[in-house]
Amino acid sequence: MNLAAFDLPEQTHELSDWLATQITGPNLSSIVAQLSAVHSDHDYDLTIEAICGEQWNSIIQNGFSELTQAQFQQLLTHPYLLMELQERLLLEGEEYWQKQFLNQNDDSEIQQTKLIIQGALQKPILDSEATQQAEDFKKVPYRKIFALGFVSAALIFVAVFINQGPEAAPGWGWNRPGVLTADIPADQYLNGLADSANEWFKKPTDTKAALLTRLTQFRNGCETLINAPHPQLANVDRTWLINRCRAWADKLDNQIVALEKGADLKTADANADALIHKLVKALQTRAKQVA
Amino acid sequence: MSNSLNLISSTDEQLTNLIKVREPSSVQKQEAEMAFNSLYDRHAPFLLAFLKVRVSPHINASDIAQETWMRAWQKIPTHFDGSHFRGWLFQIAKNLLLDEFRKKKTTSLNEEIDLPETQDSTQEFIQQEEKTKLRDCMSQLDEVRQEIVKLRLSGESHREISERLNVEYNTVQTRFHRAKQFLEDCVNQQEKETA
Repeated sequence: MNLAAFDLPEQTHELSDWLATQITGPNLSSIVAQLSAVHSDHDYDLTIEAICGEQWNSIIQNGFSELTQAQFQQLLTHPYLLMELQERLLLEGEEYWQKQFLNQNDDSEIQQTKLIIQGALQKPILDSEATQQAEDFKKVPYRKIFALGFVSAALIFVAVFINQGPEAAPGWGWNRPGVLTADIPADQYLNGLADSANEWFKKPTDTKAALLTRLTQFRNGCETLINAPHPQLANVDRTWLINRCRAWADKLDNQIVALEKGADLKTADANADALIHKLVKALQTRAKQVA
Repeated sequence: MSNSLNLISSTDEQLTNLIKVREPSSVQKQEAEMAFNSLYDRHAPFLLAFLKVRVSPHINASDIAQETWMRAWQKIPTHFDGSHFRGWLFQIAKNLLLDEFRKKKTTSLNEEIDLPETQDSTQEFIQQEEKTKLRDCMSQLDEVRQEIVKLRLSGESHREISERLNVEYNTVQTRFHRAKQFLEDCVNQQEKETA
């Protein structure tokens, strides 16, 4: 354990920056625990209003620079207030605080979660189905999906298709019903996956919006493929397929993020085409080896 | 593209209104999804910052964030009254944290411990382990060193502590640094023993 609370600066003007860094950083809970252990005799009656008073407006605009040493001491000796302070600054803090929080940010984590959510929204959601879909989604966090094993994956797979009611827009590629459940030999199955991936080229992607939608749908299909049980394949081929698909998914994620950040359409489109060509070829090559 | 620009300048309330009128397989649904993406871009970093310091070590903040957004998508049409979207989002997240925490505790071996009823008490519960270890180690320091640590962690400088306790400045400095070193070693030792 790093006792970071013990590194607080001695000068009041330095305390301002130090506290802002702790409030916006990921170790706040630990700082609060350490201060609470040391100041175990504090009372719970003090409030942020009582400490900050009329300076609250200045705090939400410019940070803690105007707080006195006595005010800092009250905050440090009543550490339970720091969690509340963080929440209020997240909700009410102005540009100064927004920047501070954003500086502490892991953008890739946020983009990764966004892709997962976008994938879930791409599935047709009828009001009556929404709760059930969210429940399925909740039960199987994407990070832990592999650990649940193939039995769980099969259940998710079934749940996904059960949720596609008669009004659902038909899926394409690896999300097309029947593609992953066909009872056929391994080589045919892999060739079938290659053919399904080739559906990418059936629709034009001549605008950024179209390319983004198509890429997100393909990425969503990749997730379906990763989660499916693939009973047609031997263990070694199943592992190969899932590992390859995870690598493709990462590349698709990167392409989606690049596109969202303003990548050139032609380049992004060419990159997407190249990736699909490559994965189709990989599937066909594996099919030959299996045969 | 023009839609995206409009969405960027839209207020949260305007965006949630677009989400409220969504219908499957229609232009509205696409607009609703785009509006939802804009809300996500606007608030996701702050939700994650909120969650990261409130999850227990066994829970992934991104998983809770993901669930929070899915709940928001479902509930905006029926439960969001149009005021302060981020505050509403945090409330969903707090409820999910509490649910997750209860689930973890009820399936853990620690059944004797009372379950917290509110997010605040959940927070205290999560910090309890770290607090207890440090408190135990603190109790092994002599009274003067405990007092020095206490004063220093309430924001007093070494100089002020020296004057208050009538102890040499250099002695205060040395005792504080040695106390910190002792506490770090002691807590790390406890962590090894319980690992």
